[in-house]
Amino acid sequence: MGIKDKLKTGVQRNLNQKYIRRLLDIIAKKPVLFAYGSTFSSLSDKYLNIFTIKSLRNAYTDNNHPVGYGSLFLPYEMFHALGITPFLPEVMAGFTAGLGLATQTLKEASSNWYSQDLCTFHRSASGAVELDVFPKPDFVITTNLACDAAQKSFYIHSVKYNIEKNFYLIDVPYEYSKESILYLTGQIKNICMDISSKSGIKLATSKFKEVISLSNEFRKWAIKVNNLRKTLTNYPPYYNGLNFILPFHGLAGTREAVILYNQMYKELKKYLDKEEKEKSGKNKSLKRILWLHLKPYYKNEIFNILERENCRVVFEEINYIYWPELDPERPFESLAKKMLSHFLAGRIDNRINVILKAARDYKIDGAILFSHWGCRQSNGGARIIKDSLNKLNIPTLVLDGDCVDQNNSSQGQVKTRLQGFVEILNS
Amino acid sequence: MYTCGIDVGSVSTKVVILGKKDNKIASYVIASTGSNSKNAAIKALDDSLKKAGLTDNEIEATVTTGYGRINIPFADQNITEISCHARGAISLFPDLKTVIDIGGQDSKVIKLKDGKPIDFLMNDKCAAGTGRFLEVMARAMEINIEQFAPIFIKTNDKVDITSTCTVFAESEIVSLIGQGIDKNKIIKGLIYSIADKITSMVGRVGLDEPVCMTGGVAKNLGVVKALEENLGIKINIPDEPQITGALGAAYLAQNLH
Amino acid sequence: MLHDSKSRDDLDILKNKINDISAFFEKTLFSTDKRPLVGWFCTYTPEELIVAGGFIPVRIFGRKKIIKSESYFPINFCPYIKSSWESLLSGADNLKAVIFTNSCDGMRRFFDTANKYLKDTPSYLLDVPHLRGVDSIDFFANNLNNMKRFIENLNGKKISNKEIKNAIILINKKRKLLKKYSQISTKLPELISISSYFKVMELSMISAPEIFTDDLERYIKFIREADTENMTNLQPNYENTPGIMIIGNFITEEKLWGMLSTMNLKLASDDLCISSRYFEKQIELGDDSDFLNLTAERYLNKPQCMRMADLGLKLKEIENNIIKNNIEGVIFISLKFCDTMLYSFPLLKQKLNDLGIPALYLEIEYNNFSEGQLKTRVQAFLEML
Repeated sequence: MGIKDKLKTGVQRNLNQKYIRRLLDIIAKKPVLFAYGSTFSSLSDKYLNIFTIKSLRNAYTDNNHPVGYGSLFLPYEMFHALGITPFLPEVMAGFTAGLGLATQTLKEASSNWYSQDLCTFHRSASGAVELDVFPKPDFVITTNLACDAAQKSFYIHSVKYNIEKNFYLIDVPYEYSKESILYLTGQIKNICMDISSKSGIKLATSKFKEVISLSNEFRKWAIKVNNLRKTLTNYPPYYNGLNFILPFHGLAGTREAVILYNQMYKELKKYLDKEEKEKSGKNKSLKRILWLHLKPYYKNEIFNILERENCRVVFEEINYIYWPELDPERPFESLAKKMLSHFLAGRIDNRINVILKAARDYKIDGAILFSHWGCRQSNGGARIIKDSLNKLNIPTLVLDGDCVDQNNSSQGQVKTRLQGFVEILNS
Repeated sequence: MYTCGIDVGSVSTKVVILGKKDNKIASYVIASTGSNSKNAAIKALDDSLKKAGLTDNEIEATVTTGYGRINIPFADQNITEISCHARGAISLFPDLKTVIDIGGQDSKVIKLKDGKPIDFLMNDKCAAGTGRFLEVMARAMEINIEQFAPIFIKTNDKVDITSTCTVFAESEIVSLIGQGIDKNKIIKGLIYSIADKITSMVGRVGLDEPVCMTGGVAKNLGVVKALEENLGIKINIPDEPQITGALGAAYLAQNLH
Repeated sequence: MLHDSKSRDDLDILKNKINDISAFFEKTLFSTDKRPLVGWFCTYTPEELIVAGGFIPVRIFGRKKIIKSESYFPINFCPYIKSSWESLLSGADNLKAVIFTNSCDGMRRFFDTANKYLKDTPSYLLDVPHLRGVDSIDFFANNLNNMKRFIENLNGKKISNKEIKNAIILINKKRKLLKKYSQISTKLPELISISSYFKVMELSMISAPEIFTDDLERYIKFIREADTENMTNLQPNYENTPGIMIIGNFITEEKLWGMLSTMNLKLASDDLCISSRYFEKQIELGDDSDFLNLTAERYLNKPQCMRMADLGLKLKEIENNIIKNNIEGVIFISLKFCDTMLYSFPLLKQKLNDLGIPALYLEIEYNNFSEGQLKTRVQAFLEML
């Protein structure tokens, strides 16, 4: 049994915090971590997994750093400037799926009155909180950016841990305007000040500047990655752009994110150089796919099927760099602008613009919108997205499924839909 | 020479043997799939060959489709129901723009341009809007499903079936019967409920005429009528709507060699 | 307590009269007011600004069978939105414009859809903050100013401060009367049926406010007089009935209200956006003439919808309500797929357990439920109490 399978069965059998902590302690030790990292065939995956383990170990270990639960789309630069170790329950819900724990966590959530119709990222995380397998947070920070679910489920987390007073919602206004920037800047500043006074960790200007600069550097490499993907068709084995959510959000503002995206750039550049050298090897009949929303994080056949059918996901909308370069002299305002620039804030047109731009930049043949059960904000716009892409004669598949609960869709149905879609692309 | 198309559906398996030169159907068979889809396909093919008076040497290529399309050993290729239904329907109605297929566990709407599928939509995971829905309801009412269409036509009034979920609709019907409500009205309501579901699917893809309906449920003239009424159009029905997918598969097999 | 048959008959006659809403609200129902209509959905929309602009604010109730609109939204999507979209698509409401709010994910996508596919009716989205501090009120006041501009553009007419003030006075009066009516119906369940109560609530949101308040004033006066003349102490059926509180979202099920009306149930309080969350709290007019700020303050501080940030405060609101009104059972009823509502239940359930209050949990589709199933559940719940 490989190290990954051992990990999986170990956690399945011993779903408790103590075991997870012990496991992380062992695996985070240098030689083991190095060995673990070397099991990944792609360099990007290697760094992703090493940094994930490190980040989790920090969250699970009692040290002097407070732990902050954070939802997606937060400006995690503020966590790092404040010396808070971020823990992202939504990303962890993806892990519960990958580790085969979601059946347990979802069951726990159901028996605690979470309706079956709610998003499984949040339900599974809530189940894990009920089962007490997540580290205890000192702060809970969330936002209404993108969806309603986070602000609600995160509030419940804060009640479970008896820290309602340390619950913060960053209320992102609907429109990008002068007033919105002001309103949001004020909130972010107040929250940082409040956390700083509660944790006793001083918010040093120099530290904040450093974090902002690191975030900019990560952004620079991520843009370079995105640019070379415009022509790249051959990827390292098992590379999947939908796997990098934790570093993209949670590690923004750290050196790790810079290293990871720098390495990713180098790795993909090698593939691109090779591709350009062997021009004859160019796969002309390859169909280029734009992926919208997320993917299932349990073992599934989707990407193998696409691979077999000679289709490749050449870009994912979640990897679009939506924010302008941050100004180290005006950190709060910069982070407010970062949030307000997100394409899931405000009108669906913001998202459509990103999708259509990606469609052109990446010369896509088709788009797949993974319709995660219970994601109202995304699925509610599926019709408009599809109509917009159809105007450009780009076939779009709305693929029903669930990112976390593998019992919520049938593999056969998914396969037929994917195959049918490929037949359309090839006709 | 001939080609063969096999559509292994959840409820029934359909085989069509098609002449290569004349594009004429040499024979077709509709058999129940049962619990072993592979055996069902083999048996239906044998029957079909016998019916046409052919041996398997005379079959140049075989394409399978339907949910059981993958495990058939003698198939040259498997192609999804989407392409096969589209191809089959086009062979019958060349200008077709939309195909509505309602099978046992899946229903789908396929949009065509120049005879080729450009978009499609399949029902979500629930069984509402499929043949299965009608079957469950017929069983709950203890009425043979074949009687649905004549009842639909002779009944003027309907009871709205409010539940969209098959399980809830079943219990709703039981309680309606318990209230002493005319079964005919319930049946009319049921048929409209399935037609409404399909109507919204057509709406998602966009309605373009001419429209053809295939699959087992197309034999139910009640559903066809309700759907025509909802969409405000006339729907083309093949002589044997159930074999459209297999027919398409046989046509697609012609391209193989 | 026993009563002779004479007074029983009198009571029945009176009851029938009081519950004949269409007779009392004839002027409202057959209004000759020709002002154009502006539609709204969410109780965070200030009707005051619509009235000040010379329009009649009309809440959209949908009530259309979902057919066409099904193809615009996913299967598991707010049924109120779907049925309202059906209604907008059919053009039946004859609206000059529609005001949306960013109340929830569903509403945001509803606005996008209307914006894209509803060509002839202009739509506007009012951004409502999720927090309620001073900064939020300022921010919201600024958004109200933008909404005011949208309304001004509809008929090319500037809205004066005076017009806003008059509209505030009018809507304040409507809210005050609705609250009075709500208190009376809680006190006199024998006389006022649950169906009638919600019928009046609905009328208050879809009619010219001037005519409606006139009708409601007369109606309340009639009930009060009838009560003092004949019916004091005539509450035998309800004396031992447990007080129920309904907590929910946009619940306007006529069939459900009809059913509850026949079930000998005392609706002692509610937390619904078609009732208390709509009429509680006035706009405090004082020396301050910044009417938009005062309006923003009222709307952000009214009894909140579950979409607001502070679920804790919401639970506190509900707890106070339960204690104040001697509630013995809670019916939690949500339209399906309403995330903010559904997420409130795990904590609410805990709170109710702590208080020892039993709760019935119901998820329903919009104007579309199986009566038999629901009746069994509600009846069993009442028997349990």
